[in-house]
Amino acid sequence: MNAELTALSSDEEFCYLALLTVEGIKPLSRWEMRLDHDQLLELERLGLHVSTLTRGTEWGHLVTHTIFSRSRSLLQKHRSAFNGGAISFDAQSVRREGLDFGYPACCVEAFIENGYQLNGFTHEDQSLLFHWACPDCKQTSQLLPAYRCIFHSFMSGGVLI
Amino acid sequence: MKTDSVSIADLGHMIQQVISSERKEPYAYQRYPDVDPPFPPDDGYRVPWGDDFVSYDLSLMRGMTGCLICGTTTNMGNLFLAGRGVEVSIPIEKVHVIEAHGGYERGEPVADFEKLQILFGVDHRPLSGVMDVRLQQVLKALSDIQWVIPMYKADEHRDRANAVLSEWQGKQVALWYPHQEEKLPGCPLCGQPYWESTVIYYRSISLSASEEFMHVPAQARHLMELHGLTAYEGWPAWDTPGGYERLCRFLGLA
Repeated sequence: MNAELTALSSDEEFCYLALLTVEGIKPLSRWEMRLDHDQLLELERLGLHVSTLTRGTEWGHLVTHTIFSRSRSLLQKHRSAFNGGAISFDAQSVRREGLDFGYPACCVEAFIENGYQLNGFTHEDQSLLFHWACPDCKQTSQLLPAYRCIFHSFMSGGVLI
Repeated sequence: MKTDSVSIADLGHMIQQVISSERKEPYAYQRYPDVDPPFPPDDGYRVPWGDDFVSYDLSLMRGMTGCLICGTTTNMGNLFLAGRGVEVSIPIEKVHVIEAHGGYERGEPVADFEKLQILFGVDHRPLSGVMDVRLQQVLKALSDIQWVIPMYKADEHRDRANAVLSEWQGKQVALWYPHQEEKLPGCPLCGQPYWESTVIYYRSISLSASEEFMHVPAQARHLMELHGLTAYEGWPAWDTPGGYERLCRFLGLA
């Protein structure tokens, strides 16, 4: 896979994210905008539960994010934790989001502590992921085949939503 | 290359110019002493800049993130910049903060502006009243105040505003919301008209004759929370001399 193959349009990225969620590789996902009616129907057709989050900014604006999951319970818990609150990158929020999104705990903690750091993964592998892998992460290495499989299926047209 | 002084926002525009340049060309990775790009050695580019080059390596990850200041959605990933003997790593999502919000998030700089200044060969505009060591404590104290009593009716100090009340270290404090017609000039760092910010009055209700009255103007709150500054060159943050020092005392911070 070359670097060009990993470049996706916004719509394609949304589909890729949805497929990862349908397959349970990501227990829950967030798309940081409101979906249109057709997109909502597609997610529901795939067996995902969908909800929205309203979050505030420092300037007092409200923004709407869409969350979806196979688990209604997880969706509701995540919504309870974040709906109505401010957008925040504090450690507690990042930790909770990371775990709900299915990121390895070691990567979440490393990201909180160090942000983006050299991790030993190739450009292509890292660009399949929605989290930043921690250095030489074993859990990410175990997750990558599943990400790769879904990505290839999606890019080859084998999986459509 | 030395040019006229530029603002932090200008540094953000320069970053965008570099990474969007059509004049980029692949460059041979060379090892830097302090910061390594995440994916050496074959993904770097360099762009002519003045009499030299600025090199970059952009490592995007999937997903988006919303700016906590304004909500703008951006990509996520790491941007590595190098040139003139310095290198800087910046989360790509923070370039927006540099461009649009003066480079500070809750009082914390999102990049090393001194290095960026060297990298681009420019002087950035000097900041007056730069970050005070107490500022983090002040911001935390302000965010710790829980506005639990809604819609306090304005009194003689602000007859066209509403407020919420709370308590801080035994003092009653009020957060006042001004009306929109009190619009004042935009912030010189980010352009935000600061009537969008709230005017905060912190008021003691001590019955003594020497009742303490603390006023934090909207522009002061804006500078502190969004840019990590207590004042900015040519832009008075406080309506009375020593206002910041009074606020620190009021909040119990030496």
